[in-house]
Amino acid sequence: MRCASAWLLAGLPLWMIAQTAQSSATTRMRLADDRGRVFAPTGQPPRLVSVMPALTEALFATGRGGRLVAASNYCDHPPAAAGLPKIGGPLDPNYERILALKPDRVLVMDMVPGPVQSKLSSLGLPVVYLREPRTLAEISRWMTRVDEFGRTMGEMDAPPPLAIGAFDAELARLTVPGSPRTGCLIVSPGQPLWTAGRDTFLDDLLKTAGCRNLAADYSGWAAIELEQIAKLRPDWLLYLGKPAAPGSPLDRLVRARKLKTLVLDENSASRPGPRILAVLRQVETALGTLPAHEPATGPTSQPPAPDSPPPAPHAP
Amino acid sequence: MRPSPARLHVAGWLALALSLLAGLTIGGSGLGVGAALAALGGRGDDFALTVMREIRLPRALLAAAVGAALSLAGLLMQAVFINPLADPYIVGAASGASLGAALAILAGLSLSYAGQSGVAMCAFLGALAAVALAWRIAGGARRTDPFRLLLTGVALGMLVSALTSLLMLLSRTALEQAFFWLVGGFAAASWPQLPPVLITLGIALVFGAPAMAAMNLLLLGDESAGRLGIDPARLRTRLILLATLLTGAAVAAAGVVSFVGLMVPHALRRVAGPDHRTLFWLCPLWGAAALCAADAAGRWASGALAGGREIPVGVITAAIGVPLMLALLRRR
Repeated sequence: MRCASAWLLAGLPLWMIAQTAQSSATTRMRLADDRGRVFAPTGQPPRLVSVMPALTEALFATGRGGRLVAASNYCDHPPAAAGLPKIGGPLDPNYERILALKPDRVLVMDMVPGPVQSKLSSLGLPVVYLREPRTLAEISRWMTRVDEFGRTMGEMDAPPPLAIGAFDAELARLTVPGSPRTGCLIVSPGQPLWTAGRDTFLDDLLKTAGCRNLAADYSGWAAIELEQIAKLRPDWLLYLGKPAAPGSPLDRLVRARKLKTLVLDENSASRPGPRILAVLRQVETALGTLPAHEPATGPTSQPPAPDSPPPAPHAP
Repeated sequence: MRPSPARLHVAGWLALALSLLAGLTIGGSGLGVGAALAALGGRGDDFALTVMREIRLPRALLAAAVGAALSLAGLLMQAVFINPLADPYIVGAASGASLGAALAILAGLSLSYAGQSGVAMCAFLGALAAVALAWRIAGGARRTDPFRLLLTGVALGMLVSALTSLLMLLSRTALEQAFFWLVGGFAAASWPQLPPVLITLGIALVFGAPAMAAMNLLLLGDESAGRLGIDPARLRTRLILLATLLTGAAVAAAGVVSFVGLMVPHALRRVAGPDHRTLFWLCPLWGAAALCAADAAGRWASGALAGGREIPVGVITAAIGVPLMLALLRRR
């Protein structure tokens, strides 16, 4: 009896280790997307189609860009992506073209409407849905997931790409400690004016940069009124893409309130991916919150004098 | 000298056959005409068969069905309001459908039932609700004045459109998706979308056909029609109900496709004359051919001119339809 117990005690840990190893191997052989659909890694390098520019950028950043056989019409970065065959936009992809490419993975995100995803799936295409990250830390995990879907079976055990480690390290270096003070507002000029509220990675970018997002009461990207901007009295107004047109009501408000402004590159700031850290550094440099150990780079803008011309657009 | 109805029927079937052929042989995958026709006959590799069975065939048939539904709805609305400028959306069906769709998109409604998406079902219900509300406010079946309904529908449509705009401002992603839906098109056409449109079309043909002669009498005015044994208010209610069902089903399947519901009945009236006994059958036939051809033309233009970017079918119907309409207006 004692002998049997001894065998059991010795054997149980070994059995558990074996089970864990087997389970881990099985997990590595299967990939689940954010809708719970399970995919088996391919033996050959997978043929990828990206329906969103952010996915294309992430694939190139992690070294899987060469596996893309086509991308959306809006995929323009890096330059190699611009030369890929095009399959239409996220809202109106060309189904026949995608089908003709015989992809192993069609990568989509939230922007691709449900009926479009359903149609792609109904054609037998392996649609991989990856939820849009809502924080900068999630961007790192999201890029890891994107990378996994670009791997072959033999590459599943390889360590994460260096780009992801570099992203995490730089994000840690750029994170501003302490409670945020400066009030900021991100605005996409136009009609209507859009602002990035909570649950967007730009909201998290502002927090990481040591500022308060004054639009945190809004959920997601929301239209904001000019008077509301005046009421919120931001210290900094961060333009997405281009500054307010000279003489426009927003421009007049900026001058009247002597708001400090900064122009962020629209593509870098609106796509989750490695370029978001350049935007973070630009914001911190402009706001003067850049951690002391970091070299200050990136253009800034000073508050405009009431009669001075509007600030020239800057790109990170 | 007007062409005979029989000739117009033969020409209509020929136009429909040609537009279906175009719809089945034009696409962005590089599948040639020969391979496409072989796939139609069940021959070819998996790729060719999938393109034909899951993309081109449902798309061409849905475009034809929606074209037929919208053209017939346009004819019925023009008969109700005795006005050639009336279209299927005139009493608020499009704005109601848009509000329903925007609500569903904003709520992130992803459920579907029997292959019908939540957005499509909400659009259908929105169209019915908007027209029912306008009809009720205008006095329901008791009132005979069609202009009262027309004005109520237009006013209510504006209010509903304003609500839709308000909703769309709540979320940028929802705005972009709702805008795309509103433009209308057949890019994501699938087989389950077809039966609701065909069933509604069948109902409208069965229940509308006995009223063909009565629709002619409406042209004489309510008093004269009443003396000839027609109840104008009841007839209008029936026609509006059928037109709304048709429009709701069409909009739920393809979004707000403009112009075809106005142009086809109007153009046919100029060619074939005002007799509804002829127009009732010609309108769905030519509407099917027109929208199917417009969709095929859009796909061709998408490949040849727009670098693969989908051109909304509403752009094509307007681009082809307006010059055609102006030519017809100049001729007479």
